[in-house]
Amino acid sequence: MVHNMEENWREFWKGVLAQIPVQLGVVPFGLVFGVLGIASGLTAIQTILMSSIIFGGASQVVFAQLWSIGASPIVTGGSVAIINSRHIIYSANISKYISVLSLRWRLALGYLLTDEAFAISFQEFENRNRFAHYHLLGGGLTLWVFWQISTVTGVFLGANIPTYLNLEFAIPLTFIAIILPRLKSIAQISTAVTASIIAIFGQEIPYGLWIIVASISGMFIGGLINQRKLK
Amino acid sequence: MIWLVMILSGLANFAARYSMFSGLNFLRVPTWLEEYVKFAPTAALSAIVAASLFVDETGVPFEGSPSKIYAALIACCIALLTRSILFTILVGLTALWALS
Repeated sequence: MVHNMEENWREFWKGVLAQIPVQLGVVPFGLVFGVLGIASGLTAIQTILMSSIIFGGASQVVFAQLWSIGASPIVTGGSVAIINSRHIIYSANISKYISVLSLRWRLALGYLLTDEAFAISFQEFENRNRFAHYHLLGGGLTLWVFWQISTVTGVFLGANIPTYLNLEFAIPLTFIAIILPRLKSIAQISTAVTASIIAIFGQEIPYGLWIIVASISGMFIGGLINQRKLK
Repeated sequence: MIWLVMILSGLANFAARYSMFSGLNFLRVPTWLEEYVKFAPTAALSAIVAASLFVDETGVPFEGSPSKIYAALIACCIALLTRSILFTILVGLTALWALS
Protein backbone atom coordinates (compact mmCIF):
# COMPACT_ATOMS: atom_id res chain seq x y z
CA MET A 1 0.00 0.00 0.00
CA VAL A 2 2.72 2.43 1.00
CA HIS A 3 4.69 1.33 -2.02
CA ASN A 4 1.65 1.86 -4.23
CA MET A 5 1.09 5.30 -2.88
CA GLU A 6 4.63 6.31 -3.68
CA GLU A 7 4.33 5.11 -7.21
CA ASN A 8 1.11 6.94 -7.97
CA TRP A 9 2.31 10.23 -6.51
CA ARG A 10 5.58 9.87 -8.36
CA GLU A 11 3.47 9.74 -11.51
CA PHE A 12 1.57 12.82 -10.37
CA TRP A 13 4.81 14.78 -9.99
CA LYS A 14 6.05 13.52 -13.34
CA GLY A 15 2.89 15.01 -14.84
CA VAL A 16 3.57 18.31 -13.06
CA LEU A 17 7.18 18.44 -14.28
CA ALA A 18 6.24 17.52 -17.85
CA GLN A 19 3.77 20.39 -17.92
CA ILE A 20 6.20 23.07 -16.66
CA PRO A 21 7.96 23.91 -19.97
CA VAL A 22 4.57 24.17 -21.67
CA GLN A 23 3.71 27.03 -19.30
CA LEU A 24 6.12 29.21 -21.26
CA GLY A 25 3.33 29.37 -23.82
CA VAL A 26 0.37 29.17 -21.43
CA VAL A 27 1.37 32.06 -19.14
CA PRO A 28 1.58 34.76 -21.84
CA PHE A 29 -1.76 33.52 -23.19
CA GLY A 30 -3.30 33.88 -19.71
CA LEU A 31 -1.81 37.37 -19.35
CA VAL A 32 -3.22 38.35 -22.74
CA PHE A 33 -6.64 37.02 -21.78
CA GLY A 34 -6.58 38.97 -18.51
CA VAL A 35 -5.74 42.18 -20.36
CA LEU A 36 -8.24 41.48 -23.11
CA GLY A 37 -11.07 40.66 -20.70
CA ILE A 38 -10.79 44.10 -19.11
CA ALA A 39 -10.36 45.76 -22.51
CA SER A 40 -13.58 44.08 -23.69
CA GLY A 41 -15.50 45.69 -20.87
CA LEU A 42 -15.76 42.72 -18.53
CA THR A 43 -15.22 43.44 -14.84
CA ALA A 44 -12.11 42.15 -13.08
CA ILE A 45 -14.13 39.53 -11.23
CA GLN A 46 -15.89 38.35 -14.41
CA THR A 47 -12.58 38.02 -16.24
CA ILE A 48 -10.90 36.18 -13.38
CA LEU A 49 -13.76 33.78 -12.71
CA MET A 50 -14.17 33.00 -16.40
CA SER A 51 -10.79 31.29 -16.24
CA SER A 52 -12.22 28.82 -13.71
CA ILE A 53 -15.76 28.55 -15.07
CA ILE A 54 -14.92 28.06 -18.76
CA PHE A 55 -11.22 27.16 -18.41
CA GLY A 56 -10.44 27.07 -22.12
CA GLY A 57 -7.99 29.63 -23.52
CA ALA A 58 -9.12 30.34 -27.08
CA SER A 59 -12.80 30.06 -26.22
CA GLN A 60 -12.47 32.60 -23.39
CA VAL A 61 -10.91 35.11 -25.77
CA VAL A 62 -13.79 34.54 -28.19
CA PHE A 63 -16.34 34.91 -25.37
CA ALA A 64 -14.85 38.25 -24.31
CA GLN A 65 -14.69 39.55 -27.88
CA LEU A 66 -18.22 38.49 -28.81
CA TRP A 67 -19.64 39.83 -25.57
CA SER A 68 -17.92 43.18 -26.08
CA ILE A 69 -19.41 43.66 -29.55
CA GLY A 70 -22.86 42.84 -28.19
CA ALA A 71 -23.34 39.44 -29.83
CA SER A 72 -26.41 37.57 -28.63
CA PRO A 73 -26.00 35.19 -25.67
CA ILE A 74 -26.78 32.24 -27.96
CA VAL A 75 -24.06 33.18 -30.44
CA THR A 76 -21.56 33.75 -27.62
CA GLY A 77 -22.35 30.53 -25.76
CA GLY A 78 -22.66 28.54 -28.97
CA SER A 79 -19.25 29.70 -30.20
CA VAL A 80 -17.61 28.70 -26.94
CA ALA A 81 -19.29 25.28 -27.07
CA ILE A 82 -18.27 24.68 -30.69
CA ILE A 83 -14.65 25.72 -30.15
CA ASN A 84 -14.43 23.36 -27.20
CA SER A 85 -16.24 20.45 -28.84
CA ARG A 86 -12.83 19.10 -29.97
CA HIS A 87 -12.42 17.90 -26.40
CA ILE A 88 -14.95 15.16 -27.17
CA ILE A 89 -12.24 13.70 -29.41
CA TYR A 90 -9.70 13.77 -26.59
CA SER A 91 -12.25 12.37 -24.17
CA ALA A 92 -12.96 9.47 -26.55
CA ASN A 93 -9.24 8.78 -26.98
CA ILE A 94 -8.70 7.98 -23.31
CA SER A 95 -12.23 6.98 -22.30
CA LYS A 96 -11.35 3.28 -22.08
CA TYR A 97 -9.00 4.03 -19.19
CA ILE A 98 -10.90 6.81 -17.45
CA SER A 99 -14.48 5.54 -17.54
CA VAL A 100 -13.59 2.75 -15.09
CA LEU A 101 -12.36 5.23 -12.46
CA SER A 102 -14.44 6.59 -9.57
CA LEU A 103 -16.83 9.47 -10.15
CA ARG A 104 -14.52 11.88 -8.32
CA TRP A 105 -11.66 11.05 -10.66
CA ARG A 106 -13.83 11.29 -13.76
CA LEU A 107 -15.23 14.68 -12.74
CA ALA A 108 -11.80 16.06 -11.88
CA LEU A 109 -10.11 14.81 -15.05
CA GLY A 110 -13.08 15.92 -17.15
CA TYR A 111 -12.70 19.44 -15.80
CA LEU A 112 -8.92 19.47 -16.32
CA LEU A 113 -8.82 17.99 -19.85
CA THR A 114 -7.25 20.75 -21.97
CA ASP A 115 -5.27 20.59 -25.23
CA GLU A 116 -1.98 20.84 -23.38
CA ALA A 117 -2.86 18.44 -20.55
CA PHE A 118 -4.07 15.87 -23.08
CA ALA A 119 -1.02 16.37 -25.29
CA ILE A 120 1.36 15.80 -22.41
CA SER A 121 -0.37 12.80 -20.82
CA PHE A 122 -2.13 10.72 -23.49
CA GLN A 123 1.02 8.73 -24.20
CA GLU A 124 1.00 7.47 -20.62
CA PHE A 125 -2.45 6.00 -21.31
CA GLU A 126 -1.27 4.51 -24.60
CA ASN A 127 1.70 2.92 -22.82
CA ARG A 128 -0.75 1.31 -20.38
CA ASN A 129 0.84 3.14 -17.49
CA ARG A 130 -1.21 2.01 -14.48
CA PHE A 131 -1.07 5.48 -12.96
CA ALA A 132 -1.56 7.50 -16.12
CA HIS A 133 -4.56 9.20 -14.46
CA TYR A 134 -2.23 10.61 -11.80
CA HIS A 135 0.00 11.92 -14.59
CA LEU A 136 -2.98 13.68 -16.18
CA LEU A 137 -4.13 15.02 -12.80
CA GLY A 138 -0.67 16.46 -12.07
CA GLY A 139 -0.33 18.02 -15.52
CA GLY A 140 -3.93 19.27 -15.61
CA LEU A 141 -3.69 20.89 -12.16
CA THR A 142 -0.38 22.53 -13.03
CA LEU A 143 -1.89 24.11 -16.10
CA TRP A 144 -4.97 25.17 -14.11
CA VAL A 145 -2.86 26.91 -11.45
CA PHE A 146 -0.69 28.72 -14.02
CA TRP A 147 -3.77 29.73 -16.01
CA GLN A 148 -5.46 31.26 -12.96
CA ILE A 149 -2.35 33.10 -11.78
CA SER A 150 -1.59 34.47 -15.22
CA THR A 151 -5.20 35.62 -15.72
CA VAL A 152 -5.20 37.49 -12.40
CA THR A 153 -1.79 38.98 -13.21
CA GLY A 154 -3.02 40.05 -16.65
CA VAL A 155 -6.07 41.73 -15.11
CA PHE A 156 -3.99 43.73 -12.64
CA LEU A 157 -0.88 44.48 -14.63
CA GLY A 158 -2.52 45.46 -17.87
CA ALA A 159 -0.91 45.18 -21.27
CA ASN A 160 2.72 45.00 -20.32
CA ILE A 161 3.88 41.81 -22.04
CA PRO A 162 5.94 42.79 -25.05
CA THR A 163 4.17 41.11 -27.98
CA TYR A 164 7.43 41.00 -29.99
CA LEU A 165 8.57 38.18 -27.69
CA ASN A 166 5.97 35.94 -29.39
CA LEU A 167 5.90 33.68 -26.33
CA GLU A 168 2.56 32.19 -27.37
CA PHE A 169 4.56 30.46 -30.12
CA ALA A 170 5.61 28.00 -27.40
CA ILE A 171 2.21 26.27 -27.71
CA PRO A 172 2.53 25.09 -31.33
CA LEU A 173 6.18 24.25 -30.56
CA THR A 174 5.00 21.99 -27.75
CA PHE A 175 2.63 20.20 -30.10
CA ILE A 176 5.39 19.82 -32.72
CA ALA A 177 7.61 18.13 -30.14
CA ILE A 178 4.79 15.73 -29.26
CA ILE A 179 3.53 14.82 -32.74
CA LEU A 180 6.70 14.56 -34.83
CA PRO A 181 8.24 11.54 -33.10
CA ARG A 182 4.87 9.76 -33.55
CA LEU A 183 4.87 10.10 -37.34
CA LYS A 184 6.38 6.68 -37.92
CA SER A 185 3.75 5.10 -40.17
CA ILE A 186 2.09 6.07 -43.44
CA ALA A 187 -1.21 6.19 -41.56
CA GLN A 188 0.09 8.67 -38.96
CA ILE A 189 1.75 10.86 -41.60
CA SER A 190 -1.40 10.89 -43.73
CA THR A 191 -3.43 11.87 -40.66
CA ALA A 192 -1.15 14.83 -39.95
CA VAL A 193 -1.03 15.98 -43.58
CA THR A 194 -4.81 15.72 -44.06
CA ALA A 195 -5.63 17.52 -40.82
CA SER A 196 -3.08 20.25 -41.59
CA ILE A 197 -4.30 20.91 -45.14
CA ILE A 198 -7.90 21.17 -43.98
CA ALA A 199 -6.89 23.40 -41.07
CA ILE A 200 -5.12 25.77 -43.47
CA PHE A 201 -7.75 25.93 -46.20
CA GLY A 202 -10.82 25.36 -44.04
CA GLN A 203 -10.65 28.62 -42.09
CA GLU A 204 -13.78 29.80 -43.88
CA ILE A 205 -15.84 26.92 -42.47
CA PRO A 206 -18.54 28.66 -40.43
CA TYR A 207 -18.58 28.90 -36.63
CA GLY A 208 -14.91 28.04 -36.31
CA LEU A 209 -15.65 24.40 -37.03
CA TRP A 210 -12.44 24.02 -39.05
CA ILE A 211 -10.67 22.30 -36.19
CA ILE A 212 -13.38 19.68 -35.85
CA VAL A 213 -13.59 19.06 -39.59
CA ALA A 214 -9.77 18.86 -39.81
CA SER A 215 -9.49 16.47 -36.85
CA ILE A 216 -12.23 14.13 -38.02
CA SER A 217 -10.92 14.04 -41.60
CA GLY A 218 -7.41 13.29 -40.35
CA MET A 219 -8.69 10.51 -38.08
CA PHE A 220 -10.75 9.08 -40.92
CA ILE A 221 -7.81 8.93 -43.36
CA GLY A 222 -5.48 7.49 -40.71
CA GLY A 223 -7.94 4.80 -39.65
CA LEU A 224 -8.73 3.90 -43.26
CA ILE A 225 -5.09 3.47 -44.29
CA ASN A 226 -4.36 1.51 -41.14
CA GLN A 227 -7.19 -0.96 -41.80
CA ARG A 228 -6.23 -1.44 -45.45
CA LYS A 229 -2.73 -2.36 -44.37
CA LEU A 230 -4.00 -4.93 -41.88
CA LYS A 231 -5.91 -6.82 -44.55
CA MET B 1 -27.09 37.71 -17.88
CA ILE B 2 -23.37 37.48 -18.54
CA TRP B 3 -23.01 35.13 -15.58
CA LEU B 4 -25.71 32.83 -16.91
CA VAL B 5 -24.07 32.67 -20.36
CA MET B 6 -20.67 32.12 -18.78
CA ILE B 7 -21.89 29.28 -16.56
CA LEU B 8 -23.80 27.61 -19.43
CA SER B 9 -20.69 27.91 -21.64
CA GLY B 10 -18.62 26.40 -18.85
CA LEU B 11 -21.07 23.53 -18.47
CA ALA B 12 -21.05 22.88 -22.23
CA ASN B 13 -17.27 22.83 -22.15
CA PHE B 14 -17.23 20.43 -19.22
CA ALA B 15 -19.82 18.22 -20.93
CA ALA B 16 -17.55 17.89 -24.00
CA ARG B 17 -14.55 16.94 -21.88
CA TYR B 18 -16.46 14.62 -19.60
CA SER B 19 -18.65 13.07 -22.32
CA MET B 20 -16.73 9.87 -22.94
CA PHE B 21 -15.72 9.42 -19.29
CA SER B 22 -19.32 9.07 -18.17
CA GLY B 23 -19.39 5.29 -18.49
CA LEU B 24 -22.91 5.59 -19.91
CA ASN B 25 -23.52 2.86 -22.43
CA PHE B 26 -24.86 5.02 -25.22
CA LEU B 27 -21.80 7.25 -24.92
CA ARG B 28 -19.29 4.43 -25.08
CA VAL B 29 -16.86 4.54 -27.99
CA PRO B 30 -17.81 1.66 -30.34
CA THR B 31 -15.02 -0.79 -31.22
CA TRP B 32 -14.97 0.12 -34.91
CA LEU B 33 -14.48 3.77 -33.95
CA GLU B 34 -11.48 3.00 -31.75
CA GLU B 35 -9.41 2.33 -34.89
CA TYR B 36 -10.02 5.94 -35.88
CA VAL B 37 -9.85 7.56 -32.46
CA LYS B 38 -6.26 6.28 -32.16
CA PHE B 39 -5.35 9.01 -34.63
CA ALA B 40 -7.05 11.77 -32.65
CA PRO B 41 -3.95 13.26 -30.99
CA THR B 42 -2.03 13.49 -34.26
CA ALA B 43 -5.04 14.90 -36.11
CA ALA B 44 -6.14 17.55 -33.61
CA LEU B 45 -2.68 18.74 -32.61
CA SER B 46 -1.34 18.95 -36.17
CA ALA B 47 -4.43 20.95 -37.18
CA ILE B 48 -3.68 23.46 -34.42
CA VAL B 49 0.00 23.66 -35.44
CA ALA B 50 -0.76 24.06 -39.15
CA ALA B 51 -3.25 26.86 -38.49
CA SER B 52 -0.86 28.71 -36.20
CA LEU B 53 1.96 28.52 -38.77
CA PHE B 54 0.25 29.02 -42.11
CA VAL B 55 -2.77 31.19 -41.38
CA ASP B 56 -2.73 34.87 -40.41
CA GLU B 57 -4.96 36.47 -37.76
CA THR B 58 -7.75 37.13 -40.25
CA GLY B 59 -7.93 33.52 -41.44
CA VAL B 60 -6.11 33.96 -44.76
CA PRO B 61 -3.93 30.95 -45.71
CA PHE B 62 -0.21 31.44 -46.32
CA GLU B 63 -0.22 35.00 -45.08
CA GLY B 64 1.36 34.05 -41.76
CA SER B 65 4.87 35.23 -40.94
CA PRO B 66 7.59 33.27 -42.78
CA SER B 67 9.91 33.56 -39.79
CA LYS B 68 7.46 31.40 -37.83
CA ILE B 69 7.65 28.72 -40.51
CA TYR B 70 11.47 28.72 -40.52
CA ALA B 71 11.56 28.66 -36.73
CA ALA B 72 9.12 25.75 -36.75
CA LEU B 73 11.26 23.84 -39.26
CA ILE B 74 14.29 24.24 -37.00
CA ALA B 75 12.14 23.16 -34.05
CA CYS B 76 11.06 20.07 -36.02
CA CYS B 77 14.70 18.98 -36.37
CA ILE B 78 15.27 19.50 -32.65
CA ALA B 79 12.08 17.59 -31.80
CA LEU B 80 13.18 14.63 -33.91
CA LEU B 81 16.75 14.67 -32.60
CA THR B 82 16.11 15.25 -28.90
CA ARG B 83 12.42 14.32 -28.40
CA SER B 84 12.49 16.94 -25.69
CA ILE B 85 9.62 19.41 -25.39
CA LEU B 86 11.77 21.82 -23.42
CA PHE B 87 14.58 21.92 -26.00
CA THR B 88 12.09 22.22 -28.84
CA ILE B 89 10.45 25.23 -27.18
CA LEU B 90 13.76 26.91 -26.30
CA VAL B 91 15.34 26.45 -29.73
CA GLY B 92 12.11 27.30 -31.56
CA LEU B 93 11.62 30.55 -29.65
CA THR B 94 15.27 31.53 -30.01
CA ALA B 95 15.08 30.85 -33.75
CA LEU B 96 11.94 33.00 -34.03
CA TRP B 97 13.59 35.89 -32.18
CA ALA B 98 16.72 35.60 -34.32
CA LEU B 99 14.74 35.52 -37.56
CA SER B 100 12.25 38.31 -36.87
